[in-house]
Amino acid sequence: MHVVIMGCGRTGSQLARRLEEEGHSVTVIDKDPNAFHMLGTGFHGRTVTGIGFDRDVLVSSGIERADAFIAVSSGDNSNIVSSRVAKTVFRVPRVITRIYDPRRAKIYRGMGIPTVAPVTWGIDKITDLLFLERTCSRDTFGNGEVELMELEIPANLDGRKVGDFEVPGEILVASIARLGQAFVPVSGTTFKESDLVNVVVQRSSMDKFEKMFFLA
Amino acid sequence: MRILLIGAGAVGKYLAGELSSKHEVTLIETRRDRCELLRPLLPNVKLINEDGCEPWVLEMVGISDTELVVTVTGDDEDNLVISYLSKFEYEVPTVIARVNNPSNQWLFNPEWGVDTEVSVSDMIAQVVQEEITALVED
Repeated sequence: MHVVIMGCGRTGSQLARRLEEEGHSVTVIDKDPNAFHMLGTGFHGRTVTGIGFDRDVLVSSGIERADAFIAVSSGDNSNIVSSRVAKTVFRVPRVITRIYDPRRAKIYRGMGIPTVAPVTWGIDKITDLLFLERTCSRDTFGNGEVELMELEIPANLDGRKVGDFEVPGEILVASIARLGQAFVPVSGTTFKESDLVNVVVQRSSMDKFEKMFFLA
Repeated sequence: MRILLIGAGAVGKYLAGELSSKHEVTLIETRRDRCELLRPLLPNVKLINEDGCEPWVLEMVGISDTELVVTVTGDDEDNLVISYLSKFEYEVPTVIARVNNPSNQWLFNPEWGVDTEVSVSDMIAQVVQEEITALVED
């Protein structure tokens, strides 16, 4: 894959290194040539100094043959503009943008560009670590709007029905592993102590999920 | 007319002063010291010290009721994003945007929500070109 990365800060440089080590062709753009030092000595990709939404800069980065464009500069607006240019003008198949401002990220997703919002993601992770003691997230979907939580069924929930714990659109019991064997439950399935349960939870319902399983 | 200006540099300040005698003008500027400096100089202008690229700020100043948005910040990417939000998120009838770097002029079009773009470099270049032509003909 040929990947063009805009922004050679911590994220951009590490991303560039990783992709290049995996065998992809990488070009990194940054308006400050000093930023390329972050790539270190082992980097074999190309660097281009310039503004990431400048047509000439993009063309010399090989955007016309790029399979992916990733915007991770420190400026949200620069990321937005260059991503949209990559997508609508140069028709790059995969375009991903990092947006720091969570309030803006939602609107820009409306442009049809996958957006990573690390601030919200980070806050979610930190609050989980702070408050969730008896459960942990096994996987995260989207930008953390939906989590796959894992927990072990305590004694006090033995015999309770799965259906009592499910809330349509918010909480869904996806899998129960019992004595090493996993299965997909139905609403009439009953929990047994020590069951290892995976629950799909909407981020906004995390409180409800905690209360249901741990304060019953 | 309700007019929203973003960017209180020399151009923004001048426009705000000129337009505020006849229109309802709101001016958004992110730099605090700039705002403090301008506040006494623009008594008829609603001066807001916030980042005009943030949707919540635009909503706070009532952008949905604004008839004209003029974005004249010194950063082209900011002007583009503000134009986009104004036109497509808040449906402002007319959006005017300033082009700082002429090599970005190609972006300032209706796809970004810009109805009219103003590129000072372009204007100067045109004037200079006309002068050169006139001189050559002499």
